[in-house]
Amino acid sequence: MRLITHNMLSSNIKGVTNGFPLRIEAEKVVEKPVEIDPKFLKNMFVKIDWKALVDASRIMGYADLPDEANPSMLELDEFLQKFHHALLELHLEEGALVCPQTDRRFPVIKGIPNMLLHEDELFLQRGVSHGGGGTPKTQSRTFKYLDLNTSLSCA
Amino acid sequence: MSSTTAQIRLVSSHPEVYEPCDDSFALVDALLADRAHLLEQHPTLCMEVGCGSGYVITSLALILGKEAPGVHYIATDINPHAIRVTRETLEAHGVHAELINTNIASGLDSRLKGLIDVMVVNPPYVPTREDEVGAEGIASSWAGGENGRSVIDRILPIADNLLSEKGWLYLVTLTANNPSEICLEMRKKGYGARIVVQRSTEEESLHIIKFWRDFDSVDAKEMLTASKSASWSL
Repeated sequence: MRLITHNMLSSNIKGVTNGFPLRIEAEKVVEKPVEIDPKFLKNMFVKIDWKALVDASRIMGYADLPDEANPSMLELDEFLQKFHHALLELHLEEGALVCPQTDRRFPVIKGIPNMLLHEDELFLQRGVSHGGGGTPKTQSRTFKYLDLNTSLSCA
Repeated sequence: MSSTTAQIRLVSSHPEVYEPCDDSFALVDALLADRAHLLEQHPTLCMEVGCGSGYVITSLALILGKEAPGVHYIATDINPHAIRVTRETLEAHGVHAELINTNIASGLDSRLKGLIDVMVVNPPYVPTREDEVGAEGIASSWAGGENGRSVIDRILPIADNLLSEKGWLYLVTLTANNPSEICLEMRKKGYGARIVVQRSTEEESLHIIKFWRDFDSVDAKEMLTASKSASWSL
């Protein structure tokens, strides 16, 4: 999970009003270099909660982001590099995101945050997903058999 | 990897995860057909709700590819197996999306409000009993409740909340879902709609519908006034 995702996530527990930012508990942080894209960084800058990014990157062991930032800094290569590194290259691989209001822990396992709520935490939560197995959805429903040939011939 | 869409042999799988089939292919064909428009739209954030095997989000990343630099991809699924399979599929194709195990966009709805430029959804659209909706694993990919609309009807307002002003939604629907009624509902929210791909198989008749914010229909009069002062560019 990149810190851009942390910057986009809030606690989704029913009744929570101050669910952002989620507190990071970092057990394992990895760095994965990616190509810098100044245009993307400029587009995203206004959408990022800067303080949340600074605090998160510090918990992840990266302390080079300035406390304050403004759009004029996007013209500086050095700033862009730091912003890029914090936003996209630091990954929370193992740990948790903690609701700031309730202390409820959302685990992050193998880089994937689990925001699923328990029955008593949700207002109205039911599924949307893709389970199944190589058959059209309608067929899965009607026959519930696996026909790999059908699936492959589709390709 | 120079393939335009994800390759089936590189798509990972799991017994509890929906494998790419006619509906997935129709959705990807719609994205391919609309590729030039997608590139012109210059999306920054693209999102798939219910990513399943990862075939669609991987294909979207490949379709936009290097010609659309500066695009960030996000995918969600309620099924943890699907999220894992999606990660493997993305990695096998050398592309990246941020993955979140959540229901539709729960946890993202407040901070991502108005930021998604392209949203793709292949929802559980099969008509089932209402109590089958939201079952774990395999069933969550297809169980759509009455007329297959239960989950679709929950997704639409969420999509409306997340889409940016220039944002587009690509939605897979079945004839049984009453696509024209869905379009009418979206029209009330101010969206134009177009069928990008229509496909009938032995089992199902699929429509891939594209929705966009249709400003000239929302407040036609207001816009008419506005156009005189040359402020069409919303």
